[in-house]
Amino acid sequence: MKALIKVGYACNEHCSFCHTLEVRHIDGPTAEIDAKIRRAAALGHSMVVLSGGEPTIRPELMHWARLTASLGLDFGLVTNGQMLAYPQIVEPLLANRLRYVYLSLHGGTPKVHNLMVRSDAFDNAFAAVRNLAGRGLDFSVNCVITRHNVEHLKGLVDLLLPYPDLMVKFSMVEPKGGGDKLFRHLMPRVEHVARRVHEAITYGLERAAGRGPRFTHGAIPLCLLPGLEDLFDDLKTHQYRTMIEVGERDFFPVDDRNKTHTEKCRGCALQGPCPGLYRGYQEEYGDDELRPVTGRPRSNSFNYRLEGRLAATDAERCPLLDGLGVTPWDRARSLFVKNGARLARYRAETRDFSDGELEVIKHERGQIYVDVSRKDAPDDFARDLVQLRRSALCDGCAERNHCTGLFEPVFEDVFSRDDERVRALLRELTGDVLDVGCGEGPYSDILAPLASAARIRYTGIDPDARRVAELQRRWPWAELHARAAESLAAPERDRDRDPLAARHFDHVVILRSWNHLRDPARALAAICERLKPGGTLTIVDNVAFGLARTRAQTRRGESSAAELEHYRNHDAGEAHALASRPALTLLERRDVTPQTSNQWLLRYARVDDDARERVAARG
Amino acid sequence: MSDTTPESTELPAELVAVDTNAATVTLAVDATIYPLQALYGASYIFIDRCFVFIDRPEEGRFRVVLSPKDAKPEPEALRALVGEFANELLSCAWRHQITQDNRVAIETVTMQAIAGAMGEPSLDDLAAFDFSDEAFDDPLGIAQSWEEKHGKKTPSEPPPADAGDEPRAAAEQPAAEQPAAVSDGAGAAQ
Repeated sequence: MKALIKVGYACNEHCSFCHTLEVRHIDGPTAEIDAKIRRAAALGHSMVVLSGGEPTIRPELMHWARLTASLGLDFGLVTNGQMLAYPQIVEPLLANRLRYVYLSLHGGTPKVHNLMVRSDAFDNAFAAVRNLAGRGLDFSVNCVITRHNVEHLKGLVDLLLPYPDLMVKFSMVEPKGGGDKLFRHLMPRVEHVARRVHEAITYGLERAAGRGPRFTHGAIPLCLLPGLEDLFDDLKTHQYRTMIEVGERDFFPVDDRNKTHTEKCRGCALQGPCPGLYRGYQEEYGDDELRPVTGRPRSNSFNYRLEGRLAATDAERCPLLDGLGVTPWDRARSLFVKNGARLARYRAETRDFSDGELEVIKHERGQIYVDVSRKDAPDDFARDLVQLRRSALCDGCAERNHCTGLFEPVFEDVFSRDDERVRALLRELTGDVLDVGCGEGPYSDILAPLASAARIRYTGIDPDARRVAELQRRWPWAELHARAAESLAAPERDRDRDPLAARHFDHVVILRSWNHLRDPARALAAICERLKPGGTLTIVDNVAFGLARTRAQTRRGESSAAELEHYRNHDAGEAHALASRPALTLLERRDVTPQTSNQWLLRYARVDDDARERVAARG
Repeated sequence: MSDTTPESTELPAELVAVDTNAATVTLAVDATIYPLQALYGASYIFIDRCFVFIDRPEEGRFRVVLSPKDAKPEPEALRALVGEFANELLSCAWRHQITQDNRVAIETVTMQAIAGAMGEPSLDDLAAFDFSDEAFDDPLGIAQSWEEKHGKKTPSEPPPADAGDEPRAAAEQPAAEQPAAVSDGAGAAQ
């Protein structure tokens, strides 16, 4: 868990893409940096990483390394490496717990690197690589890619192949500072960068044959790097939690707010870990180059892992305002749970969801629960989960909308309460009923008596043949078919062989299987065709949720072999946007809020086509 | 006349020489195997019983001469003495290695203990602290900003009054003057 401290912005190089081009004259005072190192220790970090500017040209470097070590923390550097060409500097730094180095090298030859950094720097930087390699460090070499070195990436690979403990990272240049000012001159197209990075990494992996450095990439959309998606690398994969600029009063969590996922990314299975595009890049070049990946399942939940219990607090006072601080804690990934005077801190490290998605789940929808079961994955939500809601202490607080918040358990079975509406609708069913994605038959106690009393003629479909066979054994009264909903839209030529081709239904229900449909638009079109005029369509499903769990629960859950089944995590609004069509009239909509469970509901009536045409003709 | 022939096959002749006439025993020590600190440690154990002479007759090799303070010892006693010394030397070398391995941990714990006992320095203490004596030896002149090295202005500095005909934009935006060179250079490297 690293804290990144910017010590100042002076630098002995002058990269054309320098992030801090406008502030290179600013250096943080020694006392300020000292106080920040102490604050990093107090916040529970395990490593302080100094950055800049160039931190190694500060004469206080060794003092800061010693101070950090004296507080029991490891030490790290984000550096251009030139000063680390001196062994007499490297050795005492290693003795003072230097454990992490993130070094810039933008080309495999002096010509390319020196022109990128506009200094005669290559020999020193490469000497630093030789001094640091093989010393047991967490050691990365970062290559920023502009139009000027994009064709020279394999040269860097060749140079670094002999250093097996290195991590070689290729990063898209950021449109910030010099990268913004010289945008047209420096900025390559991201699709071209991705192609060259893919070639360089593939080349490196082949040449290394398992005995060379590791390779990663940063700030390149994952959809452009097929087969290398898992090699993404950013501040979070490097275990950075917080950072602080010169002059800032306290730490802030690291975030990806300089990047964006566009509308095109909606529904992409890679969105969670994907960096998306730099905002400045997207504003200038748009998102035409993106190739969203759909048709892959994704997770519908994530874990907040218990990090520790904090000292007992005054039940009437907010511990965040009262010393822990507001800004250092990630609004989405940090979770403070208060139960009386007891306080616990949790953290979500998931990359299955983007930061934006996590914030919506936690704050907008309020779908965070404590897992009180001992299972790998809870399967009886009413018994296994206790909902968490913002504490009354947050009401009226000026920090509420940018604070991670204080949460408290709500001892109310919100799942059974909200599902009662679904059960009431099922009790009212009559006539021909189609259950799309009948699964394990969760509403047997309602449907079986209705079928026995001949009030309904029940037909269920599910793509899982094993589940269908099992349910048929338990529900002999039901007509079940092992098929996907999308198959209802069979071509005209196959309809003679389709037992459901000529069938029409009074009611269609899609109960917690909407997010399992591979192609909901296609399925819905076919379902509408099967729905009698005046018939109803009921769609019920869940949004994604977070589980606060102990370390053991988290470990068990994350090692579980359970397969992902959800192709999306729609809420009612997203599902309605897809389902809405002239043939359907919305009867009822129940959204997910912090006061509800994670279940939403949409209910439509099939419009009588003849009546609609009559209305249209009159209109 | 001194007899410098080893009197027992138990001791390696190339390392140990027993001089019964002079009542001394000489041990050759490979400096690449045993650090000097270990040699000091082992010798210290013997200074109540022997006069200990250490020198370095050649690069990479120490010579230790042990001369018992007691009356003239028997050859057996001399051999036992040098064997004992060799074992002590090994013990000291091993302890030295362990100390080296654990040095960071020991220093960290010690510094934490001392820092805790002293309390945090005040901001005034830190502001008054002179770090100049900790600055690095920088013979290559690396530790200076790009602007210092190249005599350029930082973004905060106004252009000098006598800037003459130099365009203001070029003076204030050093980054803007470089792209052509960067582009050409990278292209030429293909």
